[in-house]
Amino acid sequence: MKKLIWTLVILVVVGVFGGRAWWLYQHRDNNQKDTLNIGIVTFRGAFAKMGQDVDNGIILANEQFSKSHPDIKIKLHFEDGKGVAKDAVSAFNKLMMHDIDALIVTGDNMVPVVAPLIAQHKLPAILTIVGSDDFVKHNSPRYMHKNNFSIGKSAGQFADWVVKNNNIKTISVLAQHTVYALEGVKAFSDAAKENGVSVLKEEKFRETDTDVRPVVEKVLADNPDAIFVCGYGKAYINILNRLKESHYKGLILVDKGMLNPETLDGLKEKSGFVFFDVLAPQDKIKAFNEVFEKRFKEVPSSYAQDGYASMAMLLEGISKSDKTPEGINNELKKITTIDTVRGRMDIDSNGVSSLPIFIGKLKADGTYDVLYVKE
Amino acid sequence: MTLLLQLFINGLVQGMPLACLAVGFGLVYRSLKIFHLAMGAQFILTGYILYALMDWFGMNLITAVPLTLVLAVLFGALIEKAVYLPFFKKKSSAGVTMIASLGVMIIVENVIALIFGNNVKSISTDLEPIYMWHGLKVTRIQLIQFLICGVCFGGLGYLIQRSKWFKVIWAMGDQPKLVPVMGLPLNTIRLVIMCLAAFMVAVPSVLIGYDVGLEPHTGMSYLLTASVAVFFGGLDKYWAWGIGAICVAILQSVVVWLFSGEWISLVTFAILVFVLLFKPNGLFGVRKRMEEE
Repeated sequence: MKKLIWTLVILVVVGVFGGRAWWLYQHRDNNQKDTLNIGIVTFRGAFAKMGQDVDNGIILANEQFSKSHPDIKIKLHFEDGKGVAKDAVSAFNKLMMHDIDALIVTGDNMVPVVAPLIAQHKLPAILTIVGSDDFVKHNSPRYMHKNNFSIGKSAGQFADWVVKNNNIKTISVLAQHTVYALEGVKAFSDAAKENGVSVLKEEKFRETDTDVRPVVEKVLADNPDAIFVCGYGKAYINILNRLKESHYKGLILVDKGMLNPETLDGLKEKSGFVFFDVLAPQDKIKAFNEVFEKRFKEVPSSYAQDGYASMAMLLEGISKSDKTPEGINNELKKITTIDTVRGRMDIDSNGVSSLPIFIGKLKADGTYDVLYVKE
Repeated sequence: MTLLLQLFINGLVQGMPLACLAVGFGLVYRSLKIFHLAMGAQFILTGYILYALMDWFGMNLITAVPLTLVLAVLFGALIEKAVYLPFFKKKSSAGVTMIASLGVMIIVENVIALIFGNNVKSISTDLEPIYMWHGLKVTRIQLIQFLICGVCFGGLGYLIQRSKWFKVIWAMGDQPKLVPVMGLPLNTIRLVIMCLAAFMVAVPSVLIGYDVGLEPHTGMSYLLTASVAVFFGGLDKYWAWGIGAICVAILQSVVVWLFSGEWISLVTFAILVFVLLFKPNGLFGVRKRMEEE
C-alpha cells in the first residue's frame, strides 16, 4: 500500500511539472514574439581581445538602435565558439535554444562548420571580421552576408600596385595556414603573375610553430625582390622580426594585420614594412572611438568598428523587414552598398563585400606614410 | 647546399634549449613516473615572471634573470608539494596524477591570460646582431642559447654521473621502491627532482622568451616536442635525451628543405609514432626483462 501511494505521488509530481514544462514549450513563441533574438557566435581564447571588441561594437550598435527604434525589441545572446570548429558547433547549438531570428558569426575559422547549420535553419547570418570571400561565394541559397573588407580583392590590388611601382621581378610569399591567409596569398600571387612577376616560393607556417627560422631561411635563400607575409599572431610577428633581423634588402610586404596593436607591439624594428589596410574615414572613426571609450572605458581596436558595422547592417535589414528570419534575409540580400564606420562597403550579388584600401609604409615610431589610395 | 647547411645549423642551435626541456620532462617522468604536463605551465610562467620583473618592476636583465630562475624553481617545488606529493601519498594512479598535472597547466595558462592578456609580449625590443661565416648566419641570442643550455645540460649530466647525491636521483628511476628501504629521504629527493626539472625548464624558457616573445598558449607545443625528444633518444640514458633533442630539432629544421614549412609540426609526431612502433625504448634505450618493467 505504501509503495502504491509513493508511486502515485511521484506520478502526480512528474505529471504536474512535465505538463507545465510542455505548456511553456508550446507557448514560448507567443511569449517572445515581440522580441527578436540575435545570436552571436563569438570567440575568446588566444584572440580574446579581438572577440571582446567585436562584441562591444555589436552591443553599442544595438543600444543606439534601441534608442532610435523603441518599438523593436532586440535581445542579444552571446556564445563562445573559441575560434575553433568543435566549439563553434556547440555554441551554435546552444544559441538555437533561444529561438534565434538572426546570427552574427565572428572570424574566418568558425564559418566553415557553422555555414551548413545556418543553411539548415534558414537563418540570416552576418559574417564579421571575416576576410575570406570563399564562404559567401558558394553560399546558395544565400543566408550568409559578409560585412568586412575582402582579403582576395585587397591583396590583388596590393600586388598590382606594388609590382607596377617598385620594379619587382621576383617575389616569394609566406602564408599562415588559415583560410584568410591562404586566400590572401593566392590572390596576391595571381595578381603578381598577371603582371609578369615570378613567384619563387609559396611557403606556409602554422600558428603553433615554435621556430619560424627554417621557413624564413628557405624564402630568403632565393633572394627575391619582395616577400609578402599574410597572417596574424605570434608566429606571424616572429616571421616579420626574423626578416628584419636577417637584413633582407628587398621589400617586406604585409597584409592588413600590420596595424594590429599586437603586431606593432611585437615588432622589434618597425620601419620599412609596406602594407595595406582599410581606408576608413577618419572623422567617423574618431567619433566612434569617443562614444566607445565613453561606454566601455577602453580604447577600441578596428575589430570593434567591424562588430559595430556588422550589427548596423543587420539592424538595417531588421528595420525594413517583417521581423521574420526570411524577411530579414530578403532585406539583407537587397543591400548592395552600405555606409559603415569603416567606409563605404560594396556588396556584390554573391554577398562578397569589399572596402576601399590604402597602401602605407611603416615608420620607426609605428606611424605610417600613405603611398597610395584605392577608392 | 648553403640552405641545407643553414637549416642544419639552425636545428643544431635549437637542439640545445630543447635538450634542457627534455631533461625537465625526462627527470620527472623517469624518476617520479609522472607525465609532467605541468612543465608546459612552468615554461610559460617563467617567461612571464621575467617579463613582469622587467616591465612592471623596472628591473634590468642581469638582476631579473636570477630572480626569475629562483621563482621558477619555487614554483616547481610548489607543484610537488601541492599536487604531486598528495597524489603520491594517496597512491593515485599515473593517469590521475597526469590529469592533475594537466589541470595545473590549464589553470596557469588561463591565469596568465587573465593577468597579462592573450597578446604577444616581447621581452627584448631590439633586433639581434647577426654573425656571418661563409654565407651561414647565426644571431647572438642563438649562440647564447646554445652555449648556456649546453653548459646546463652538460653540467647536470656530469653531476648525475659523478655525484653520489645525483646518482640517487637517477637510481630512483630504476628502483623507486628501494629508496625508502635504503633509508633515504624519499620526499626530499622528490622535491629536489622537481626543483632541478624546474630549473632545466626555466633556463630555455628565459632564453626563448627573450628571443621570440611570450604568448600564454605555447607551453603545450614545447612540452610535446620535449617529450618526443626523450622517447626518441631513450628514457634510460641521460645523454640520449640530448641526442634525441638535437635530432628532433635538426629534423624539424631540415624538413623545410624538402617540404613546405607547414609540415614542421607533423615531423615531431611522425617521429613519435615511428619510435613507439619500431623502437619502443628509443634509439639508445635499454631493453628490459619483463620483471623489470
